[in-house]
Amino acid sequence: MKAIYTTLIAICLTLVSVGQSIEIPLRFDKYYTYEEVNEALEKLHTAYKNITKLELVGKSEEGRKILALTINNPKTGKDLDKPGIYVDGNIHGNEIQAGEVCLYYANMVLTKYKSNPMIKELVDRTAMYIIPVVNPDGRWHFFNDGGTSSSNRTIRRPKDDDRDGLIDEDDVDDLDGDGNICRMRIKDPNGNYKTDPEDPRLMIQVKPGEKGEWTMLGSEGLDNDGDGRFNEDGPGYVDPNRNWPFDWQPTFIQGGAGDYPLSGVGLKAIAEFLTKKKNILMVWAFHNTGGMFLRGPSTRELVVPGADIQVYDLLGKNAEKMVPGYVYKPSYELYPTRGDFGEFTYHCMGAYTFIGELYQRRRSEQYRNPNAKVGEKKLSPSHERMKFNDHLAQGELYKDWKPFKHPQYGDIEIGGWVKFSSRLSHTFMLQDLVHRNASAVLFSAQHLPHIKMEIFDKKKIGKNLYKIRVRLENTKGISSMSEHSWQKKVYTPDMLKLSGAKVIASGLISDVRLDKVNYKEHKPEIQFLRIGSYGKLEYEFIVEGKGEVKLEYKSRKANNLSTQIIMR
Amino acid sequence: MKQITRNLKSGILLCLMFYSCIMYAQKNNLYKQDYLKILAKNHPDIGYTILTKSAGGEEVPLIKIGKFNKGMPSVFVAANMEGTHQISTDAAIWFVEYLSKHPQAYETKNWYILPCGNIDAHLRAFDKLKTGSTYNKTSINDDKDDQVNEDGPEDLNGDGVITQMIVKHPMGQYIKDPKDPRIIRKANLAKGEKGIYKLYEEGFDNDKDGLINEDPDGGVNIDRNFTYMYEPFKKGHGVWNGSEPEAFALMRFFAENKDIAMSIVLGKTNNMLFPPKSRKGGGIGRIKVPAYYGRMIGIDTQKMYGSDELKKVLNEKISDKSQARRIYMRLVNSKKPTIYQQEDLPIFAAVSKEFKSFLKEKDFNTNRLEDSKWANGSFEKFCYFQYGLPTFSLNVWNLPLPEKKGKDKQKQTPGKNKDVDAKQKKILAYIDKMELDEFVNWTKVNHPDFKEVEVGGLKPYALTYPHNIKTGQLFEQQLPYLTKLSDKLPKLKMSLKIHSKNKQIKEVIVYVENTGQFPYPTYMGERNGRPAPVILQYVGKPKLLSGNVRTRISSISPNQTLEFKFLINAENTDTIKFNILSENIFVENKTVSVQL
Repeated sequence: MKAIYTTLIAICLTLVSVGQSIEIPLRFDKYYTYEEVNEALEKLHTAYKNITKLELVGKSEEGRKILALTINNPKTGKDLDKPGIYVDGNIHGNEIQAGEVCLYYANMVLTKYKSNPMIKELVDRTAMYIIPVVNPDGRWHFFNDGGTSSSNRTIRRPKDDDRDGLIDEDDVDDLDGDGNICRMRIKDPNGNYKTDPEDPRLMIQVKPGEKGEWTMLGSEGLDNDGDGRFNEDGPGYVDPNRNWPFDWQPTFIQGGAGDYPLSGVGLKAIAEFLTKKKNILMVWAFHNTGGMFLRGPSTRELVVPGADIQVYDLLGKNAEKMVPGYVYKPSYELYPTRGDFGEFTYHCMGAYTFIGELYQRRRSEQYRNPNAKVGEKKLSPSHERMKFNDHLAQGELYKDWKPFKHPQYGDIEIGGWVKFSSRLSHTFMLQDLVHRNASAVLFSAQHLPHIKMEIFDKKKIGKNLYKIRVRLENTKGISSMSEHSWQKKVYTPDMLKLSGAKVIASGLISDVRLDKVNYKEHKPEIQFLRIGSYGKLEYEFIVEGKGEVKLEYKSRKANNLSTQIIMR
Repeated sequence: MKQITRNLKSGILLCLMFYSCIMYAQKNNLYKQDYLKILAKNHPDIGYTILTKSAGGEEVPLIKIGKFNKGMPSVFVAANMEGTHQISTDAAIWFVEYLSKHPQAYETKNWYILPCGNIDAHLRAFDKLKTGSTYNKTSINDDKDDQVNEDGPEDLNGDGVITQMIVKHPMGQYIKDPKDPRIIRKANLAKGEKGIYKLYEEGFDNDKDGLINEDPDGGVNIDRNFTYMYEPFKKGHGVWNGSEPEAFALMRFFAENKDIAMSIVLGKTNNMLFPPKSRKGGGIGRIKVPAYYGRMIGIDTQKMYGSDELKKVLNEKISDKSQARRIYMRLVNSKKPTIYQQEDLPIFAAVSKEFKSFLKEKDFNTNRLEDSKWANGSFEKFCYFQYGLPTFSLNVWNLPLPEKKGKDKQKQTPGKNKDVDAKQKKILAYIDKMELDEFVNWTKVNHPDFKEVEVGGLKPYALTYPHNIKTGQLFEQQLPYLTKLSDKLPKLKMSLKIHSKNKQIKEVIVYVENTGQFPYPTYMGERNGRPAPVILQYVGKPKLLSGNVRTRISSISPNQTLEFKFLINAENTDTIKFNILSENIFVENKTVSVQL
């Protein structure tokens, strides 16, 4: 009998899970859990097997999978032979909508591949790599543990934050078991706060000399270790966005850096994955919050060459227009950081990198009359936010104060903004957020370099001696190699190589009308170069021999080209 | 039976010693892994472990010596991090053997010994062609052209070593020194000299790109691949800090083993003979408090504060002492430390003084060529700055200089070039005096790129080994001091005093004394907050009216006694206990309990 019940329950559960199963196209009126993100990736891969690959990049500290979806049409070439774009999100576990942007981007590109010629052309000439959840443990715990909108940001590497010899011993505690870590307050005639007469859920600070009603006790929790401090040593504190090996600095200089660069096992796996994808020239890493498109440098000491700023400006200023209210600026202007992902991808991989800080709460959570008359009373920001919660979020974002018997403080009250508030857009606005940001990514993908090669002059200048002139042109806004990588010799630059005959001399033509050529002293058969944003380079080869010669343009991050010339 | 076992053991030990003598006699032996394995197998307190595999696939051995009881400090000895200093590897192995016979050296501490931090480079010394390369076997396209490792050096004169090459060239900047034509130096244009030669490493331009030997086999110098003050985009430094398995594994090891309380680096640097001197910027200088903190704490932000003054004012204004300390450190650390901290210099000076007198007793000549400076991205900087460890370096042998006598005392000649020339002269004088075969005289050789060149110069690995003294003797004179040095680590001792305020309320004072000779931690360790915390723990039923269950002992100087006061609500029959919990300090009495 028991067995029958168990079977019945199992069947019911299966039916329920089938009922909730993820379908393509994906939905963006809800947030996917970590497991659902993986399922969504698998579904996308299954539905578009011919042009996708789903890879296990590595595992997190707690053994969760980090999955990467590659979009590449093998019929038009190998992924490594095409310019690559990489998009990731949710490196901070709580910044979950960053994962949704990645999923939306993949979903948009794949579902429109057949019907939209622009997207088809783009997919056929580029390679796209997408890791929606860089920090799977963080996302999992964000959904499953009680927390605030900032909880579970880090990776799960234990750290003795308060240096008391105990590790992760005093985390926040979901005292009322509602899945949220709210605020605690206690009645106190000498407190600094009093109830807001306009909205009793809110509190206002008392004026000097005025009597208060409440003292705020901080986030919901206990003094678990009895040291007189609350919630001072939660799980981990290695910030996964301070653990990358470019300009990494120890924790006393850069908080959250971890013990050593790439101490995060998942991060190390991603670094190894990226090292193999040498074709990646454009990187987007999504976070929340604030509404910003941040480029390097992340500190004032680091320098981004002017030619690279031009490329950033093209993409960043456009992105500002695509996502109203977002601001494009250098990352150090927000605050300086060291060892972050963007500097790693820019300096060590030679990829242009944007950090997308999603969501502007003040701008999005509006409850106001745009047609208000001059002098008409406006709501204060906190009242407006509360009205937004009441009327547009149906009260889901705020928990009213409720009494609670605290084992250490006695009678207190718990209430405040919930986990899925503050840094996350309400799901009714999610579709707009992910679409606009994914479109900004798509715009940059469209600008991945596309190089054309043209032999524009071929002359016989002596016995078995020929002059060949060739033009390389980038028809897109992103250069074939960053100026920084060129200057610092990060990797082998683009090459223009002539083979099949002896090259006597070759050089960059500085003025084609005046026949001015800067000849290269050694190894004239190879020219090393980079082609800038919408750039054009012209080269001359003086070649001895006859018959067929081959000209090849080889680039790590742009399209490769090859052509034959008959010398006669 | 016991007797037989004992005899057998001493027999094995004798064999080992004999074997080791042979090993030391053979300078060109590898890093003696087999020897270390046998030693470990036959000794209960020695463990042979593999730290990692090098880029070239070689196992990197790490020897562990000691009982490894919980809470015991450890000393990390790393040798030959650059891979070209074989004598350091030999020294480390000698020291393993020395420790194996001196169990008292690991009674209150443990030892980790890394005989060679850069094994790939070390093994290059045993290649048929000796290049002196510090590179491991990571394949790196140094010149970022279309080929990898395509242009290494060639032995033009067939002597089995790579030296230098001079080529006559109209643009040449170098000349042969008129007084000693073996010395190639830059022409002094101001003195009317004109350059004749271009100076290269011995080799061809294999790929005809106009550069000689610009892309040899490998690699990365492990001793430039560590995090602290790492210099990116430089040849031989790796694609990022910690990119190499050898460096990454060591960084991980340090993070995982909080017992490490001291580092000793055997290599080309030597702060034991040449202790760091006071330099501008070594202290924290004067600090301006940013407006944000000024407002928060309520202190004058226009004023510049000295270290002590800042500490004082923060302690006055902030009631939570640990918060005051955190803010102090945050303000201090707004400037990144790049040189030995002024506050730590006395440690190095005292050790150096004692070490020199130790050497004097052994009749060891300390007048010698100055050793190398610690490099950015080196293991040594990593240990001191990132972990705040007392970090000592020792070069077991460098070129001895003749005794200085009255008038002969050379004045320091300023200017980098002059220093280089002076060093070359000293080296050649030594080679001549000792009649050594370490210099290749300049001889003409045909060259495919330049037709005729002259090849010559100092041999790679030259002057890294002594010539008139056996290495065993050299180690005997110096290395036993390392155990003496390790005895200086801080040691804690605890005692209690009880005052009865009335029948029920007692004041308990816990005194904690540092009976060692080093502070816990170094000033650098205080700044970086890395050394494992030392906690004074209260255990007992009676309620604490004042004081915490766990109190961090944040720092304690040698011979200093700290007092911790607790007010306890207890009956006379209650027993209370105090523990000192630590991972990296030897504590004489970890627990003190008392009945009230």
